[in-house]
Amino acid sequence: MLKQVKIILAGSGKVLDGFVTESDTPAALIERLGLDGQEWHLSTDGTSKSLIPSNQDIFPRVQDGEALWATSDPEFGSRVGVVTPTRSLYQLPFFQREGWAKVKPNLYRGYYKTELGNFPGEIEIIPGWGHAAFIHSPPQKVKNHPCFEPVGNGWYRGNFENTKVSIGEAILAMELLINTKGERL
Amino acid sequence: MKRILSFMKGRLKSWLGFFRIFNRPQLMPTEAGMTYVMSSLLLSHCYDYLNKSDAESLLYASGFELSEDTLVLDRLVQVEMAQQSWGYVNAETGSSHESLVKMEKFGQKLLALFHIHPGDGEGAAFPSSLDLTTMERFERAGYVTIGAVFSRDGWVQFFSANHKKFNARVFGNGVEQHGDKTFKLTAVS
Repeated sequence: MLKQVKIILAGSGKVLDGFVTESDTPAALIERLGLDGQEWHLSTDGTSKSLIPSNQDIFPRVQDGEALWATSDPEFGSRVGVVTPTRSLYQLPFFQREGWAKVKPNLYRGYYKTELGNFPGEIEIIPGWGHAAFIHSPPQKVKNHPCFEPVGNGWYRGNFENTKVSIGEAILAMELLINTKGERL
Repeated sequence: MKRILSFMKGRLKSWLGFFRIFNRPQLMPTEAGMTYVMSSLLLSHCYDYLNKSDAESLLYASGFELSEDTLVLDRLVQVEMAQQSWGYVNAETGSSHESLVKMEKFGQKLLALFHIHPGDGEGAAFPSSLDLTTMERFERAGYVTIGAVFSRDGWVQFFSANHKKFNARVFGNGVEQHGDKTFKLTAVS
């Protein structure tokens, strides 16, 4: 079960697409956008009363298609005794820069960003075999391609030759497959 | 289990899906080169508010996009502080959230985050590592927000994380420009 949501980054003029699955927390949703889940706050109607604690199950609180408001609290100065390492975006692994997050030891979630739109995705590590890449509701143009196999609930698995690749390469592989509508196979 | 079975089945017919990755995109930092425009009076009001207390404090500046490369700082927005000390300040979540949501609803953007440091002189207006971390968090999310630090004697330095290119222009009297992004209030109240 999956609910699509919009995330309005208040004060930025930007609206991002996201999705929540059962037992997701606001932190998990934020991390799929490539942001630090502990540093951003979500509310359902933009008021402080509707702020959702970062460790609470967000799934029952949001409707499919709903817009959520996101903000972060600035802090300045020096937290005495607290070391705050600065970490550049470009030091992060590729999958994180692409907005994907590791949600379980063997499961990564995020969006495939393609010329035909953004599509929810999951990449599962299967011990001994490699990675299995899944996509939810792929575009009609490629849905019937032999490289996609339905596995239920709107999810399709991509059949790729080389499954012993990095998470980033698996993401790029799926995006390339959609962008070229299977022609590069 | 269904996924694993499906995966193994897929391996058997893997000849269908073989390709390689070519031309992996190289991610480069975006350098907007925007110009942030404000009046000297706005800067002076900002300093007066921040310098009222001995504790470090902060102030938001909202504004709008005048053209493709020009942003105008229009209003100063006060928010409540969650923690405040001589050398540290943190905005209160609820107050900050509602202020930013209001900006968004009015089609305005958070253009600058001002705060004040203890000490005098140009060197006191240099951003700390925590200041840079905060700005990086906003930049990573796609905000066009820049930071600005005041010293207690009226120096102000604009900055961004990741060396994003931008220009700061202050119109009006009572402010001297001392560097690319460094100014000094001459009419300090």
